[in-house]
Amino acid sequence: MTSGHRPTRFLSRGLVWLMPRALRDEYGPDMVQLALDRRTHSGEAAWRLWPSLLSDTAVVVARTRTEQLMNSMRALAVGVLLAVATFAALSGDLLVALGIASLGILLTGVFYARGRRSPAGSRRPAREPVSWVPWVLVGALLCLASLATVAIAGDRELAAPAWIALMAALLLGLTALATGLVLATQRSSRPVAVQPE
Amino acid sequence: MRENEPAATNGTRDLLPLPPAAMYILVALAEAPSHGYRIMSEVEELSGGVMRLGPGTLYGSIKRMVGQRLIEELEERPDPALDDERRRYYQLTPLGAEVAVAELDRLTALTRTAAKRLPGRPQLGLT
Repeated sequence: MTSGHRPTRFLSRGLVWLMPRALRDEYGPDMVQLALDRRTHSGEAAWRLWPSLLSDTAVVVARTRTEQLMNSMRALAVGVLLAVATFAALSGDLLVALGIASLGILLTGVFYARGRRSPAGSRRPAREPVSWVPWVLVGALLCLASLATVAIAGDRELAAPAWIALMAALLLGLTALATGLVLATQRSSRPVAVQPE
Repeated sequence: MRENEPAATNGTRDLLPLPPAAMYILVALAEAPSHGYRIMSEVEELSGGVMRLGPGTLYGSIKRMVGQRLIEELEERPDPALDDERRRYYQLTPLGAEVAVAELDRLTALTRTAAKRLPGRPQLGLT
């Protein structure tokens, strides 16, 4: 490679870093090599190559993030149901809590079953995995903060706005926690590798 | 079965219609195993320059197609003496060949119907 191609290598490495992790880990060096091949073997000019690399990265990243978002939205829906159920149970409305929780568990079961029907080697395209860790961390943090506030307040009566903020934080925390757990369930039911026949 | 509908197995039908990039990659690999850059060049040539796959699109498609078992990575390079050892080669699997044929049937049926229905289009002489 000539030194004139260093900027292309630098740029393509930077763009590969923006790609979804699963793709980057598996094909990162190949993607850089392909960009360099276009420069060296095809003799493509930098002014033509670079914008095409940028637009390709933008398309791939946008598509992957949209897939991830759609996947998160389903988990979030179940998470909200489970959080509301927990909230209802905490407030003493057991029957409502049981109903909502059943619905949440049913939906989780459907997601899990759909994951099971796509075993390793499935011909259906796998969805991009979404990390469940941030959801659980944020959820746990919010729940702990809310419970700690209640514990510190003790018998003192909180003002209405503070009480509303506290309950909202608790509900949000429970939602994030439940969503993270649903995402973790989906992840564990997803194939990790494709074994050749 | 509807008129002109291709006969494809259930497993194959699940994958249809193929994204254009995937079909081009299957066709590019139909004759011989190939590596990323050559696949990209072949796709560009096959499409008359219309489709130029960027690195993300190409390897995103390859990743997906390997997962679907339409193509597979070769463990040994076809001719190590001739090529760069860093390159990874891919080849069509039997399922990939079957899916490519099914997609070709589908496109042929569509083309035939479109030629009949669209006014002013020439008869394509498809058999």
